[in-house]
Parts: sequence; C-alpha cells; structure tokens
Amino acid sequence: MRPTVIADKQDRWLPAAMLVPLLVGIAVLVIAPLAWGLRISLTDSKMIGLGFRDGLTFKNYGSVLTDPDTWNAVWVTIVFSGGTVVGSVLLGIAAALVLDREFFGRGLVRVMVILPWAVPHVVAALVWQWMYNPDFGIVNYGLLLLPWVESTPKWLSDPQYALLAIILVNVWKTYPFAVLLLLAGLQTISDDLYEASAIDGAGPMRRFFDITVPGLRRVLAIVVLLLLIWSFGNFVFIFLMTQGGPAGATNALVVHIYFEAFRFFRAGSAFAMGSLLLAMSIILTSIYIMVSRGQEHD
Amino acid sequence: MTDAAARKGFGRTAPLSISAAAWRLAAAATAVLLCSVGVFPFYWMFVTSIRPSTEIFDFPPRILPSADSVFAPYFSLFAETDLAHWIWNSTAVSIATAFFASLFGAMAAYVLSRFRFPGRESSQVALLLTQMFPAILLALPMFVFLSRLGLLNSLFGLSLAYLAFLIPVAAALLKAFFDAIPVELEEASLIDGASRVGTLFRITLPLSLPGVASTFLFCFIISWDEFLFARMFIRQPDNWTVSLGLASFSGEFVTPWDQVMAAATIITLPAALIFLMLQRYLVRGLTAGGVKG
Repeated sequence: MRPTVIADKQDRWLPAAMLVPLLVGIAVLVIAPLAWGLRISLTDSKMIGLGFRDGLTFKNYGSVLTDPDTWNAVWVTIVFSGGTVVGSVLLGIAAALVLDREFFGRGLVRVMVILPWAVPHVVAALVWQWMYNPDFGIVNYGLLLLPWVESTPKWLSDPQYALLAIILVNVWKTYPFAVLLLLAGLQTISDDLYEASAIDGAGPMRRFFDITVPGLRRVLAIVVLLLLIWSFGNFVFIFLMTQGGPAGATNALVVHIYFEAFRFFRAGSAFAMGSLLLAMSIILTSIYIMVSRGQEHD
Repeated sequence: MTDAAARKGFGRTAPLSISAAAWRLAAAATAVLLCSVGVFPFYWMFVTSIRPSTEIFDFPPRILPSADSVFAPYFSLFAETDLAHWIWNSTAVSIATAFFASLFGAMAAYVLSRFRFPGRESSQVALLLTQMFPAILLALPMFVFLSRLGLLNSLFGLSLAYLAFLIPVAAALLKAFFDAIPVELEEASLIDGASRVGTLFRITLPLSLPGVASTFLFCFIISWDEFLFARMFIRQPDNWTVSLGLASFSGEFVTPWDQVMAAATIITLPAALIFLMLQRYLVRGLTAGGVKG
C-alpha cells in the first residue's frame, strides 16, 4: 500500500493523536498488568488484590519450579495443546480436501462444518458435559451400540479419560478454523501442478504428499502455532467441565494459576507460574510472528 | 469455484475409474460424518431443551424429539431465573465494548494504513504480540487494578478489561480494510480542499462501512462469549453476563438439563447468526489477532 502523499495541515498532529487511544490502551491494559504481575511474582503476596510485604524474593520461583504440581500442569498443558493441534489439523485437512471440490450442496456442508466454531465456549462446555454424562449421556449410548464395546468410561470423572474428553471437545470447537485456513491455502496451489502430476501417472496419495502437503506448509505452520497459542490459554472447557480434576488429570497451567490465586490465596506463586506461562507464550508467539511475517514478504 | 478447481482431485478430465469412484465415496462419507459431528451437539442441545423433564434421564435416550415436547423451559427460564437480566447485561457490555474497540481501533488502523513513521513496523508487531498472551496473564493483575479502582463487580470495569484485547484486534482487522481503499480517492478529496478529518469522515469511513460493521460484530461476539474475565471480575449475580449465568447452572446439586439447554439455545442464537454472517471475515479476523478462548 502506497502511503498518502498529499499532506494536509492536520497531518502534523492528527496521526499521533489518533494513535493515542491504542497506545494508552496497550500501556495501561496490557503492559502495566504484565509488569505488575512480574512484580508480584517476586513478593510474598497472599490474597490477590491485598497489599504485600515490600522487598524482592525469588522464593516463589524456587518453590514453583520444584513443585511437582507445576510440572504436572505444564505436562497437561502440552498434552492438551498438542492433542488439540493433532486432532484439529487432521480433521481440518480431511474437511478442507472435501470442501475444495465442487459438489452439490457444498455451501450447506461448509456452514455445517463451521458451526461448532460459532457456539459460545460456555455453551459448548455444558452441552458436551451433558453428552458425556456417564449414566444418561448420548456419547456412552453411542459407544454401547458398537458390538465390541462392553463397558463405557465415566469420561469427565475418570483420570484416564478426562483429558482426552476435553481435548475432543476442544478439537470439535477449533477444527473449523483449521478448515477455513487450509481451504484458503489449498486454493493457492496451482491446478497445473495437479494436472502435470496426473499426466505423469501419480495417484491421489502421491499427489497429496508431493503437491498438497508442500503447498500447505506455511498455512499449516500458522494453523499449528495459533491453535497451540489458543489452547495454551484455554480456560473455559477445563474450568467448567472438570475444574482441573480428577486428581489433577486436567489441571492445565491456566486453571492451576487460577486456583492458586483464588482458591489457595497464594498470589505470589500464582504470578510466578504466570511468568512461566508468559515465557512459553512469548516463544510460541515469536515463532508465529516470524512465520506469518515471512509469508507476507514472499 | 471453477471447473479447474473441481479437477484438482480427480474427476472430469479422467474417465471415472474404480479407484476414483472409491475416492468420491470416501469424500462423501467424510462430508456426511463431519456434518453430523458438527451439527449433532446443536441438535441434542435443542432436543434436550424441549424434552419433558420426566424423560430427560431415560436410558437409552431417544434420539428423536419426544412426542410430547414441551417448550415450557423457554418460559420458566425467564420467570424463574435472571436470564433476561443477564442477556441485558451482556448486550450492554458487548455493545459498549464493540463500539469503543471499533472507534479506537479504526483511528489507529487509519494511521497505520496511511502514514509512514518511525516505529510503524514494530508497532504492528506489538499489536500482534499483545493479543497472543493467555488471558489469565492479564486477568490476574487487572483484578488487582480494578479492585484498587473500585471497579470490581462493575460492568464498566469489565468492558474496560475487554478493550485491552479488543482494541488491538479491531485495529488489525480494520487496517486490512483501509489498505484496500485506494489512496487516490482521499488525495482527490484533499486536493479539493477538504481537511484530513473531513476526508476521513466523508470518503474513507463510508467506503469501509462493511469493514467497520464486521469489526463491530466481531468484537460483539467475542465479548458475548467471554468467560474468564467475567468470572474473575464479576461476583454479584446482579451483574452477571450470559456466560456467567449459564455456567452457574452447572455444579448445582441437580442440574436442570432442560432449562440449561434452553438457556444455551437462546444464548447461542445471536452468536451463531453473527458468526455465520461474518464467515468470510473470520479467518482474517482471527489471524489478524488472537482471540482469547
């Protein structure tokens, strides 16, 4: 985009003035809280919002980093995010390949595929909670219809299945995003490549791995990173469906931090864990910015 | 979509071989499966909401709606719970937030789109960066700030907090819209003697109205959907938003599933309609700025 060349008198002060709300917003609502959070992580603050003894201490970091609960939370976060990414990307590719072709009723199918994304998070959590109900839920009913299934899991209250159950909900909610992005990616791949390859006698599988996958590499990287970043911060599903339980099986960092601050009143260590989460998201976000900026300059 | 795109897989250029037919069948099966997975929870939500409460816990569950479906929950909800009040709260918060996010976002987006100045590139990176942090990192310290300012339990304080991530989102979205409007139109107006502000209001904004409208709606549904900030900052049931109200149903000793699903249906409707309207912009919106889950 070419910048405007003809300057009006107002151009001397107007641009700066128009940026003020954004800058103030970011400074007051984003940077200040983050800095304040770091500050509190270095104190013995207990009840969040109340005062704390002045002075700096790294005690919180020491106790947080040696606490097995923290590492459990990190592990749960990684499994949750990783599982979401794998599920969403696989489903997303399948759906995008189907939707990339022309067929009767494609518009309708597209809307139906995107639908899960449109539901508010709290609604999704409650509907799935009801569907996962161990005694009356439709999920277990469906499982029992399968000839080889003899007993059904108690999903959200079984430490073995709870995390899987929530990952499935998150996949259901997020894969439409992967579909839309991958669909846009598929449409940038030149048809000539497919035709040339078909003439050379390549089968569908061969074409998929030789043309489609390389052509989607950038888009895939963006989908993976965004889904990772969002899953890292996902609070609603876990908080509403399992509260981090049973036995810490779904206790992701975000939920762990929340309870540390509001249930156990250890604000200092909650913020210290926050810094850990901050570090993880800064790494992911930097990679994301590198990838997405790189694409613009191609 | 053109024929060329349809040819991508297999199909019209080649005669229909057995393997091509098998692939088509697989594609059709995938489409049907994905549609049912996408739609079924919505269907189940609605069917549960109109099921007589004596049949809700029947097992095996009936897939089809009951013969004596009742819409009573849709009325009792409004009589027995504060749903109407929560909807009002959410509407007020979402409209106010969306309005100010679009306004401030538009101002910043215009400058970022039209002017070159030192730090422009890095400010765009900063825009992206600010939206990517897990919401809880902002929520905890904001809780402290809001409590000091006496803005806990206040819908005004909640809207303020939402602006933290919605202004950058709106700015990123609107910048893309402004970029698509030719600079020449503005230059013509400036040459004719209009001021920059006049040009902005008479030329640029009217031309980008669809962009502004979709940005507004986008911010609206994000606020409508938001849970974490609301949960942390609003404790008085009087000021609950729809997310909080709905969440309060679960965890009660016996969950009244017909009422919960009725409320869920009501709350989903506006969000889903706006979402489907915005389909085309969604990808741009979400990649332009992260959205807190």
